[in-house]
Amino acid sequence: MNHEIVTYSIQQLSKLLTKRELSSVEITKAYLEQIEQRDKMIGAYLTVCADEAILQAERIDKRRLDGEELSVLSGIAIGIKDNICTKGIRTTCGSKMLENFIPPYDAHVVKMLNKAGTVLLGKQNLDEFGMGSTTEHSAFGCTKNPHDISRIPGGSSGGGAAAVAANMAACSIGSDTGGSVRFPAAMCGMVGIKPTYGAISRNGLVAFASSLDQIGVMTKTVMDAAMLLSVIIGKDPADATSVVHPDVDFLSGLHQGVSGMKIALPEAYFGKSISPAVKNAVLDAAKKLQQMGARVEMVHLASTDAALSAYYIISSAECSSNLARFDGVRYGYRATGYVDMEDLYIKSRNEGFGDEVKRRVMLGTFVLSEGHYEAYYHRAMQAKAAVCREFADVFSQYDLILTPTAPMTAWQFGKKNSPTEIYSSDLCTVPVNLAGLPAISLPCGWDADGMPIGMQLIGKAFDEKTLLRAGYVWEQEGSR
Amino acid sequence: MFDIDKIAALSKLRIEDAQKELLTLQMQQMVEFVSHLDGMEVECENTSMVEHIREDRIVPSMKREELFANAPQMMEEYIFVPQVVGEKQNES
Amino acid sequence: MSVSKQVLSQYEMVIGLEVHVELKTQTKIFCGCSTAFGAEPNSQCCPVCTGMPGSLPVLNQKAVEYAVKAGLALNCQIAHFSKFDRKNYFYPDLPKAYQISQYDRPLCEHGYLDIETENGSKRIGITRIHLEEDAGKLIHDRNNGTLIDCNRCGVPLIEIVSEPDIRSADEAKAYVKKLRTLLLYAGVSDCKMNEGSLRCDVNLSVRRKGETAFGVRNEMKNINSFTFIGKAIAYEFERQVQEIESGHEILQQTRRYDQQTGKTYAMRMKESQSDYRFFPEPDLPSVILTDAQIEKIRESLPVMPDERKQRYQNLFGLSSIMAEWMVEDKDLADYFEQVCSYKVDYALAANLMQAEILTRYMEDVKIPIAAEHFAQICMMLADETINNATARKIIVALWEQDCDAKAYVAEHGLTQISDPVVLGKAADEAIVADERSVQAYLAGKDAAAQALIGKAIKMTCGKGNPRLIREIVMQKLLQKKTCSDSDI
Repeated sequence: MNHEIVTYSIQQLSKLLTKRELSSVEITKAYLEQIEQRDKMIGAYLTVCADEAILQAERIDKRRLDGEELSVLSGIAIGIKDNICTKGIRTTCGSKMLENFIPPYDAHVVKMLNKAGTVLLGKQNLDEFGMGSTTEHSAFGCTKNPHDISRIPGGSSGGGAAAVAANMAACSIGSDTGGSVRFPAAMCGMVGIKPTYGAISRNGLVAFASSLDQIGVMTKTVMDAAMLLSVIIGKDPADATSVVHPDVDFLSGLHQGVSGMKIALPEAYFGKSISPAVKNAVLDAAKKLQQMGARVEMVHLASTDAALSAYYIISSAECSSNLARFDGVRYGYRATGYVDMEDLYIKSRNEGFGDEVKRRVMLGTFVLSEGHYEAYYHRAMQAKAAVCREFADVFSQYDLILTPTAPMTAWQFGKKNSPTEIYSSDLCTVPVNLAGLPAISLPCGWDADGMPIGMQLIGKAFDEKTLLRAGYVWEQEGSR
Repeated sequence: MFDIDKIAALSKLRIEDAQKELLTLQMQQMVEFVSHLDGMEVECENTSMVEHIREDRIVPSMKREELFANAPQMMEEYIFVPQVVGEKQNES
Repeated sequence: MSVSKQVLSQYEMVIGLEVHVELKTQTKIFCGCSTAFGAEPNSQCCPVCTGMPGSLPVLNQKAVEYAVKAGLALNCQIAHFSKFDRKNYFYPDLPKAYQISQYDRPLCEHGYLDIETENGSKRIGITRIHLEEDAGKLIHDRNNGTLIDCNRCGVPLIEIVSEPDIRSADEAKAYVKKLRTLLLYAGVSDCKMNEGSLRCDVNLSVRRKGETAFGVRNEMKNINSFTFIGKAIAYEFERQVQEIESGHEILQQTRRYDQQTGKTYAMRMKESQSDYRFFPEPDLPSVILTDAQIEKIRESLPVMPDERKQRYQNLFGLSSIMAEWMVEDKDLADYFEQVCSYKVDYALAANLMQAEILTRYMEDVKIPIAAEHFAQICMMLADETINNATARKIIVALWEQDCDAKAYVAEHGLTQISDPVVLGKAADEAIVADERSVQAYLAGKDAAAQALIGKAIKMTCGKGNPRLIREIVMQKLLQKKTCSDSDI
């Protein structure tokens, strides 16, 4: 029974819970057992909250027995990326800097999930502070891809994607700054969605790059993603960049299909950097979508190189500032043996941060420093504006844009070593963050090694509904 | 072009000599990597702030013990750090 | 240090001021924590103002309103579009290791204020006013450590930057004084230098008179009283002149004024601290203000001191200096206008206020005498029901316990005596009692008459009409004089 429970979608679990054929305690225990068995191998979790999870599940079950009307997510066991603050539960950001950090408050998204009655199984692994595409840059060891443990699960929300793929959570909450939800979802064969910038409050998400960070979800199905989003999307007065979403009724239009939809296929996303297997799978998907009634057309979108440059400049600049607060003064790691204040700063940061974080902090410091601001940061902001405009042009004629999620499938650990080589894997995802648009990654086949391939649908701002609608019909009919 | 010591100092990081060569190379590659920004002369847009402000109403503060539970070193009600030396005086 | 006056007089100082003023909002600029002064350490803090991971700032509407109000009070142009930027530097009083401030798009620009000094009036330009957050407080502990109190972190500040238009310590003081008056009028800050809600940085350079280029400037940080502004400027001016005279170059420095020694000292700043790496604050949307919003804030401003001063001069016939003095403190000016509403002699009221109210008045403490009662005193003075000495007596009494001034005069029999018979008697008594003064007067010392007049007033227990007594005493002395002259 337990082996089956953990394979269910949220939708299935929710139905069984409502019909009282299954209790939240049973679900929670099944996942905890699965984690117990598999996570030694996978390494998806940094903290497992077994006792608290069972307590919460018991509370939910009792409320259900008492006849209380509960949300569709009540009793569903989930995992949360470890850069999202959970009150009283260690939140490390995958960094030695915050190894023992226990937040005094809950992130907005955690509050919303608690209100909906979800059960928190634990906190999931990530590249330190979300900086990376492989989960290799966690201070607490890397997460492995459940499809092949010699391969990366993608990142930075690698723990979350791997947990869902290995049936160690019904779904995972991640964050996506340049593809950190969509990329690991693609690598692990899961559904990953990053909503429009501002749709979900960032309050309590430990900032990497504030203007690009957005919370997203990784699920087994599109329906599950829709169910989750309707609970966590919404304006939060504590995040000045969050906005009122005009349409959160994601479930009602889900079955309407893609007939009559106009889907753009931008050439630049099918260039020579895209592996043939990925290219063919996504172009096949385009054909199928056409057969399902959509109008699919090639369009021109300028080179993605500038977007990639702009992304790494802006994200590094913001990270250099956002991570300055980790100075060993008020919380987090404080080195010992310092001789004065200056030494305390330097030692604590030097010992607390990993190499990738240090590189990005220094790149960010460089692009903002005197004499370089105009050449780098300012031009990157211009490039960002150009990307926005280009997307807007395409969206004046099309409903969706279809691209690969990643140029390749999951590679083996150690195969890519240079930072910039890894940065290139974000080619397809970062323009979306620059433009603040919503995008979903959907499984669309397998490569010769049996690794999953992901395709990305990009939507208009605040039009998650169309994204989910297309994703749903793809999942039902296209991916078979 | 990439003065690693200056950038490290600004970032409050210290680069050990053994790492310096590799890191400088990596940083130069990164700078090269982010230099593809030609032909992008576009004015950045502005957003409006209505609805993103708060009223001037007091919200109870967090209890000190709770807020600073993670502090590495406290002295009574204060956070404790070594003597700040940034302002040493030079008679002139 | 010794530079001769003559050498000093060949130079002039060029001063620009940066004044930081805490806005008197209830809550901090980016979170709901209280801004009340003097609370227990670290008791008014939350994840936002202590820079906890994941916390985000949300702008306090009132802070924007107050900053705009300050801008309008200082005749600035208000930006329809402005934004926040991050100023990055590490310091233990700065929890996020960046200060949210405004860099290239401040809220207010191109303003001015007019000052009044002994050399007349002068207009000082205001370059800009921007909104930012305050840092925490560091307490230097004896045990080789520094203690951090985050209560002040995030208190809203405006930084007001003047043009380098100031040329003397007196002008600098007058500028800060006027700035303070204007901001108090606008009601945007307490402007208490002793509590740090108004802090002053002085940028000073020197040049030979007649030169047009600026010298290298030095910044003196956080000077916290009018006296010290004057002293620091005087010291720094002389120091820089001496450096130049000794053939040294002036180095651009940040200097600290030491109150104990009265000297300024160079602060050793790390080179890395000067590159602040400003960039737009991504957590806060831009501040967009419409004309309607700005006008609404303008309408909420009270009548400002310069306008009042004009009115006092034109309508009430006060002198420029008297009018300036009167409008300097809004509470005093409000009181004056209330008194004037009772149709008193305005100049008389102004003079009496300056003589009797100012000496007793304390800022922020309400004047205990009702304006109506003060007006009664003015009127009784004007119609000679009482004299100045009595007026003072009444004010002293009413300051302790306020009551109807007319009733007080009646009750205590303080009505002025104008009966020439009674006054003549008093004058005679004085003359008899003080033969020496009489002789002195007769010997040609006119001043001696004053002593006799005073004595005669005393004989009436201070109630005699001084004008009449004077006339009578002088008449009697004149008689004596002609008598003694004819004797010869």
